[in-house]
Amino acid sequence: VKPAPFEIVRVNRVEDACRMLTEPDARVVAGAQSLGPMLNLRLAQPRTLVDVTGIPKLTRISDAADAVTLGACVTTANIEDGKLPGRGLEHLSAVAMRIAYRAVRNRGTIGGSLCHADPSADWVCVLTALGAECHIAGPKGSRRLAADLFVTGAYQTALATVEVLEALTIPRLSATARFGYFKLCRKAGEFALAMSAVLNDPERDVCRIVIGATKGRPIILRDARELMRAGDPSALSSLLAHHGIADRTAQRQQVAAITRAYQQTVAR
Amino acid sequence: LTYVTHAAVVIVDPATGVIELKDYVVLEDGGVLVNPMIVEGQICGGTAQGIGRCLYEAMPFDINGQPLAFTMLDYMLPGATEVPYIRVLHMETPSPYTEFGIKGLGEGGAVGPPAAIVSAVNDALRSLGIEVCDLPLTPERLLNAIEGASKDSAAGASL
Repeated sequence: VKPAPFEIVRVNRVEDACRMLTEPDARVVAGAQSLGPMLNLRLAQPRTLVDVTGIPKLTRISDAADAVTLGACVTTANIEDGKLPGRGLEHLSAVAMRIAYRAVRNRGTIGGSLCHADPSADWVCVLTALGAECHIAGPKGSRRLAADLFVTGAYQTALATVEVLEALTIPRLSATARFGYFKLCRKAGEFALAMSAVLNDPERDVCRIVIGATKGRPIILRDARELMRAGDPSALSSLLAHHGIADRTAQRQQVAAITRAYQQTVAR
Repeated sequence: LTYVTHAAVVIVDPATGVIELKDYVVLEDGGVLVNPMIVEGQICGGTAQGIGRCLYEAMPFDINGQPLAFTMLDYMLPGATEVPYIRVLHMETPSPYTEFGIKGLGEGGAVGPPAAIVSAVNDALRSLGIEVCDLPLTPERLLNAIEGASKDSAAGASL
């Protein structure tokens, strides 16, 4: 398995990346941990790859009182190692720790994972649940988009071909908020069978459940408190069926993932 | 002849169908061990293969005979994170038939895991009255068996 011939261009400025993307069949590459295998299997055959990992802005981490902004090329290993400043972000390191293998995490980036928009990617599910915001740069300037609107389908995003994801703003967890996450994988690095991220903050009346490992974009249950309080697995199953998860095994595994992620968020 | 026995401790998650290997012991009689380091490597490598056969590896074909697992994306192999630390114990009964009393050791690792792991899983599920035997023992197969059992018991209860 070898990729079809392609050119790789390393840029140092976002503007240069956007300009390069006007070339035919040009694609952005960051850590290449998803795109790399796709190139090797010839599932993707771009003519030009635009490597954005050399853009200083894209590896920056900036701190604010209620949120952190991560450059799109911050690696999963950076997050795993607790490089994020301040409190209320510890849960991200726990998520990072269970993504594939360390070798993949060393190179794979948070923005790259989101842009790849694999339905079973951890960051797609988790960033949606946390209400992250995407900073997008294009030839006509920049715009912002909520993570739940960014991913539009399996391997599809709201990003135009000439746009680049620059950074992600992730809100910190407040003192009363709890985050839960459960992923079911047969082996490390394999596509997940089921996945669920839960943000539960009774004080702000937020109880959001995001279901990943679907066939398309993540499923978002915005007000899940009643549903979870009832604790009825058949209600969850029919909800999953309504969202196109009809397979009985997948339903059972998703129900287990949702229940366990939610359990992590309720006080014991 | 080489003698070998495998023992596995497993955790079965009845809600997800996922099986975790908690402990694994292999006892092998390889006769006189010429190089114990190579012997243990052989046993551990073979056991990893057997774990793959038992839990992961499958070569399915579609109705037209097309193979469905022809890349490493489709064919699931156990990796370093799926193979537990394997405790290897030795017996050394010299073979009366060979020079130096050595015995062959190649296959003992690979053939044992399906029997040991599936037996452990069936023991864990004994209270449900089910027995699984198809390989690889995927979460889907296990969940189907568990669901079948709970349906049977529900039917039994209504009679």
